[in-house]
Amino acid sequence: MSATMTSPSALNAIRAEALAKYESLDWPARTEENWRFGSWKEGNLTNLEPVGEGIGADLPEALEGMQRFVFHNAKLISGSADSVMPLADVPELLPQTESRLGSPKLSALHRAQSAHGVVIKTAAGADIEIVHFVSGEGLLTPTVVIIADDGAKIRVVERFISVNDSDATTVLCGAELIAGQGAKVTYLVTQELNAFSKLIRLADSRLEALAHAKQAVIHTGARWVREETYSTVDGMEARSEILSVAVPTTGQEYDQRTFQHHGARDTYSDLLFKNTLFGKAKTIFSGLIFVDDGAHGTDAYQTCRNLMMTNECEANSMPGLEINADDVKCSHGSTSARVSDEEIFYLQARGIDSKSARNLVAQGFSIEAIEKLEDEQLEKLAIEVVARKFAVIE
Amino acid sequence: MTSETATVQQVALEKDDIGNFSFPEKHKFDAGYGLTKETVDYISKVKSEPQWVNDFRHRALEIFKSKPMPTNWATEDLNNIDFDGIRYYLSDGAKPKRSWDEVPPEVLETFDRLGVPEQERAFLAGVEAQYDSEAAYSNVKEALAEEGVIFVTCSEGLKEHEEIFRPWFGKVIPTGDNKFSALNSAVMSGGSFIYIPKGVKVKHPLQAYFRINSENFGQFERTLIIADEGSEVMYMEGCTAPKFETATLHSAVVELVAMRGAKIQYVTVQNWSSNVYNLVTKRGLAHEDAEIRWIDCNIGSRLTMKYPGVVMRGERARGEVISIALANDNQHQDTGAKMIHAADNTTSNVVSKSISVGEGRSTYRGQVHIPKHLKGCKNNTECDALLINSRSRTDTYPAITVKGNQHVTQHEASVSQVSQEMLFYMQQRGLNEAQAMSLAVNGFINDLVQEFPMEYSVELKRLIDLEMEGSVG
Repeated sequence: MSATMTSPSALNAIRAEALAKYESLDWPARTEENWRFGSWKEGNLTNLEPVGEGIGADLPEALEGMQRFVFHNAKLISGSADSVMPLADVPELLPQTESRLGSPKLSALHRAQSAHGVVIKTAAGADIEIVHFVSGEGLLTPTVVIIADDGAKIRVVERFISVNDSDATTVLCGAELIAGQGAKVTYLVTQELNAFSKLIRLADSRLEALAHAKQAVIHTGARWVREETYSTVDGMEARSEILSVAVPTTGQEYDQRTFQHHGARDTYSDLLFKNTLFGKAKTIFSGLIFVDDGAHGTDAYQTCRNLMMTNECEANSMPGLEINADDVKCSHGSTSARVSDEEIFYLQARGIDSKSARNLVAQGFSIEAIEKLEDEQLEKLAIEVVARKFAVIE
Repeated sequence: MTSETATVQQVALEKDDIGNFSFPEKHKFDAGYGLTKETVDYISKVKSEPQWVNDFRHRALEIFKSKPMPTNWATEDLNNIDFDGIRYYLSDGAKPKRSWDEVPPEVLETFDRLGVPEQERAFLAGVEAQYDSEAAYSNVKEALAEEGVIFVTCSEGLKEHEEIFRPWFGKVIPTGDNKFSALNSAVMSGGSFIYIPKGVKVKHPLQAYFRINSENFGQFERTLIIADEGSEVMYMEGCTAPKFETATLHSAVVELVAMRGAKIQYVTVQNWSSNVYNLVTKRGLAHEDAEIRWIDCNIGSRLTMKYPGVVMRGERARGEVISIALANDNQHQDTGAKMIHAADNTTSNVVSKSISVGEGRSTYRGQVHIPKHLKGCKNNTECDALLINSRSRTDTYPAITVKGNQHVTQHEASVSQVSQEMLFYMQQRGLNEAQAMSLAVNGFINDLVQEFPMEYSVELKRLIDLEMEGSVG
């Protein structure tokens, strides 16, 4: 680790300021448009104490060529790389997420409590895997900051794994991705928490000219997920791709809000969310493409597809556009449907029973989004995580 | 006050309530500015309404006062409405009289360009109180009466036909639906009540024009249309010509009830002048096999907020919204659709096209709701936006809720411009840039314009030409 130590008082000052902001703000309320259809009460973390020390579990198979960082709750157990600094050493890089998507109070809480995390910063290349082992009852506030200097190539995998099947942990995590000119970043997050945990993820990204970032999240676990993804493309010809694959079932609610902010000319963003809903699952997708005045030549796309596997699941979609420039190409689409009978029949005719046929089609549906990562190693991992979930769904 | 100088509202009101009251004193009274219990009582008294209507108004007033402005999702511009600076019932000579000299030249020119008949012009400009269509439409009226169609003002409806009117009044859109439906319920005046008996298919579109001696347009008009089993009707309101208006707030409520197998089409062309807040609640209730179509075109007003809805309560009911919006400088067209599926095998379709010109802003807001334990519901939503200038703005905010796997919904939206290639192609063939743009815009909405009755679609096209003038180059 290479960093100049900042005095603890600097961190304390940041926290105190964030705490004051946190105390001045209100918890999410039913009337807020950003919480429409959502479980706003879940976003209220009053009196939630930080979790204690964590424990570990069996490590997943290592990813070849990637440097691994392992956390047991807030404590870094192993991992080191030239490009990585502990957040505690550089508190000034603690992200101040946009929080325009409904959770300014949660964002302030994260900043006030954040004690651990990593800052990945390089002008060359870095392949980093971060494993968060999560345990205990209470609040955990991890952070990942990715700063790709001009021309850097960074690949990051971040995994959230519950150590046991019983602890109700609330993970409030912040992520910030800054890609300099011509930088290329691929960032995959897998969320494999247990059925009692909650995840609130506030993820911002900012891309400068010619930068290219791909962000993907795979949600299979947790009882309730609230994810706010704010993507800014600020430099000409920057490209931002945002992908999500979610496979919720009974007892799971995934509430995802996204913002594609185009602040410069000739920028590109593409968002693809694929939800496969089993049991009594509920999903909420709210996306907004926002094109600034003057951001002409913008290309922006947004698609949310819901595959309804049962008669009791519920999908809410709010795909939005706000366009203040002209000469733009923008579109959004949202669909909800089930696996077509023809597809099932086709597979049954080839000797596959109807349940397997249905799952096969559903997995294929998810993989379509994963393939957009165009990174074989990360795709393989993502497919494994999704397949594990399909294997346990009845 | 002589009849030559009487204003639209005055004369219309006098005639509206013909036979029910003779109220010369009303010229001495003034409901005044602002909205209080006294205002409501005043309106009730002027209209000599039964007690239940008065109670209804008072309840509505309380709801209106208690509800906050919906600025958590809607534009902040709503806060600029000064409710205390509005007259809720104009009933004396306080409204300035108007002569041809006072009508802005732009409006006069528009009349010329659109080819509005002379008589209509006077009415639209507010110079003459009533467009007298008695002669032109008397045959139609006679035929309607023979078939048992009731077509009267809303105030007549609630008094003369209470047994049909009351069971459905306020049922499709409850008073507390939103702040502005409550406002309308408190101070409603004008609007139509229509009842189509079983199996009657009305051949001609009904227009407020047919209804003699009443106001066509009201500030707070209330319309209720009931189509009994198997009947069909098309209703048209508004007109393409700009309605020169000094009142700044219009808040209408329109309720449609289509019984089993009935079909209602409701056509609106809105072209209020650009100082008007047009905040309208429109909803239809479709029973088994019934169909309700809203065909809506918004060109005028400062801010329009209007999301026609269909509640599909019976099996195989069908709802449709077809909407065209054109937002020019200083205008915000905030329109959309609400489709509530409440029975199996119901289908709905929304097609919305908007054009933003200059600094205009158009917004689509939609809601599609398919609750649990239904099957075979289908929704299709398409919204396309065209941006003409670099300062134009467009937004889309749909919300789709689907429960269960027996349904199909799809939503598509796109934003685009008129391509340079297209303009170049047309200019090569001798059109100037403005003509080319106008042709392209007309092409963009052409398939929707065809849904309007013929005379409307012709005027619509001319109107688009007019609005597009000076927007390019």
